[in-house]
Amino acid sequence: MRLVLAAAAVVGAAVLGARAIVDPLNPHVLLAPTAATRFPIVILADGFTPDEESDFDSAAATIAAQVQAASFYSANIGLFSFTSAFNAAATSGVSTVGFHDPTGATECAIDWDPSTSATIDAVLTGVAHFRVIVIGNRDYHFGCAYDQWIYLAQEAQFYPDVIPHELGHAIGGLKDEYFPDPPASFAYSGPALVNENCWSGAPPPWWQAAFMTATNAPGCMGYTAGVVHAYDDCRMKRLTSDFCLVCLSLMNKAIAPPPPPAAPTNIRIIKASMQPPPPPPVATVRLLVRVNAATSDVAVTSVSEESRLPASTRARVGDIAYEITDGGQTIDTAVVPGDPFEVRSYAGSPAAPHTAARRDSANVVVYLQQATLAALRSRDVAITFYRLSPTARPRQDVTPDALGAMKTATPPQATSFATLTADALRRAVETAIATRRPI
Amino acid sequence: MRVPTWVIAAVLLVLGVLGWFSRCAFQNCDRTVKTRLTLDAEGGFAYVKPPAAGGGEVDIAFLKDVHATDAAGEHTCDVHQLGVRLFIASGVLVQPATQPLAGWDVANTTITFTPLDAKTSGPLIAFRGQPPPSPNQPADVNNDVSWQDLVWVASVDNSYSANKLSSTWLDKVSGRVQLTRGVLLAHHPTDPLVQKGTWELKNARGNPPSFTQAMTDATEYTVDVPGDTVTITLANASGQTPSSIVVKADSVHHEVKLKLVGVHDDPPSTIPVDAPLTHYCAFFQLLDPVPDATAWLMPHWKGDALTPGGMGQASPGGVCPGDAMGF
Repeated sequence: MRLVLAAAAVVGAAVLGARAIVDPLNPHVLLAPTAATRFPIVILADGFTPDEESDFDSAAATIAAQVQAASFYSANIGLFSFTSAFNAAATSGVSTVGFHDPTGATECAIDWDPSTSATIDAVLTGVAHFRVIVIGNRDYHFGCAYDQWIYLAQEAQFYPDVIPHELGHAIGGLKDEYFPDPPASFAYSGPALVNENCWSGAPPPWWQAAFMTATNAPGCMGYTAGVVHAYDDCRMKRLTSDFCLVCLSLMNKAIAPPPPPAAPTNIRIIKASMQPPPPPPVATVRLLVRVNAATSDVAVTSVSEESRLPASTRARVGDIAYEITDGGQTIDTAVVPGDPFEVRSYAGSPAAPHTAARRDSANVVVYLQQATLAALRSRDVAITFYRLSPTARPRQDVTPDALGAMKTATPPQATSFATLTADALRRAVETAIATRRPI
Repeated sequence: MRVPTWVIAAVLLVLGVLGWFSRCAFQNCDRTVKTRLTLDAEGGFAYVKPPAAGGGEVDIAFLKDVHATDAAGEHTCDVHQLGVRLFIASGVLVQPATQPLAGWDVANTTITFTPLDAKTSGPLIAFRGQPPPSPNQPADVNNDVSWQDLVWVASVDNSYSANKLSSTWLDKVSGRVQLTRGVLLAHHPTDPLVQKGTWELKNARGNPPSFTQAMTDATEYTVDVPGDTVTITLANASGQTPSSIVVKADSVHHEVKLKLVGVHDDPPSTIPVDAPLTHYCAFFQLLDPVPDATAWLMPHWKGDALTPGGMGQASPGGVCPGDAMGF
């Protein structure tokens, strides 16, 4: 009997111990995931003391409700889930994940440590997240987006269109369509914009045939000339508007579920069964990978296993793509929405529109479909990042075949700039398994 | 000698009576129930001292759409208002039961707080001092106290001797908040970059003379309201906006906190250095006579002189700074 009680005590302690690790976050499900959910969003407290938890709870619930009420998201609500996570601070207003006041000229009204994105993922171990909305306990109204997070000063909760706009960047790779009033004048001279909701090519823009009501007025992405936008009345230009037809079409393409990956050649069939086997649980491995476009350095920031379909897309929502190979065979491709090296802000951005708000390295979210951490230990999975020529195969999905053709075109239309080797990925997976936190 | 019992009883009675009546010398005996009300206002509101009120009132006025042209028919000012939103930031709603996600649209309402009386709050204090010398910023831009002077809400009519607040200004605004008691202070800007920077108010012809100053888009009003609830009366309310809102303090904040946000169309999301804040033109329409457009002192962003390399862009976003009139 004593032995039984002792064993029960040990088991109980283990369970309590596991809860003790997770519970300090006090996650609240604000919108429960469904089987179709691909975009789980976590709202994380930053700089709130335990006495201020109700302030955070209120802000988080408000922001989640604002997104659910916005037209595009309400029509696709099954794809989203919202969870709030309270990461208590010892001192009011002081970040626990490394956000701090800028010490010089920066892209945003807030600055952050090099380890901030990794810290956020570590704090959220066991809590699935496509994007993290960090609510900072600061008495201001501004925002900043980079890596996998969107930072909002808490006053932003009173501006219900901020997050629906920001998710347009994160999901559909949509560009900002606003620009300064005259007499400010900025002529666009960057890479061709032919896939996006801003158009820098010769008229007519790509959308003209489908949306004949588009006005194509000059100005987009902070530039006043050399680039046009389709409609003035658009969520990416004007607070309080819905997505215009062009942005809506891009968002709808971006949320289409990606096709399953190709089967690698080294899969072993264990045995055939007379009865059809039950469908395996959906398993996706999410990687946060730091990629340096200047040095080609690649490092895994975090690894997690999620029981949901991935948030990846093959739609042409950006000019950075990645290829997943297993044993040298391409099994999947995906496009990174927008420009991951760009730091977006509203309030406190640099003097030239967007041109200075770039960093050499960024954390990119990569999804491995139908994969588990255990399976990855014995596979030769590598990930290669490509920069796509904007004008190559415009608006076409980046399938494995399409990417292959772009790589071999003369001149190449897809240029690799960084690779996460199979060895490096295996090491990251082993570390993740060894430190995996019970849920 | 033995003191009689009745003497002891009498002394104790006298001491007790004295103690009862003198207790207020040592503790607050004011048992008036009151509720602290705070209103944070963010946006391009006109802070008007109505002449008819004799200086005892400030109205936070909501500008109407402006589409002004000059004699040649050229557009000189185009500002499209998207509304004014009122939120309960903290407190427990008594009536109605819930607030809309985007707050109540109060653009066309006149808002008052009731009941207010002399027992719980004094006459309105809305101090607006003289601008300090160049660079005309708060002594410590990072200190909230340094921003409390309403001088950091710029004022167009201070620069025009012949153009004062129009007697028909109420026709040019869609709604307002009437403040008659309590304290109105300026608050640091909602944008941290704007908090560190300055604006040069100037026109092309150099008259009136240009000047530079820090500007804020935020104010904070505080008043103690008798009773355990605050009633917000919204005259002319329509649609989903109720004619009154009743709130009581919650157990965490022990106050009722409101947020008033003004949003207008196509806000210049970012303003490069030396570029004008064009929507500021709306305030000149409240003057009588309206100065010629070439004489409007328009704020031009001068950047953040305090941070090396930190010129940056001002970003009013949906929130432009306000203006004080009649002070």
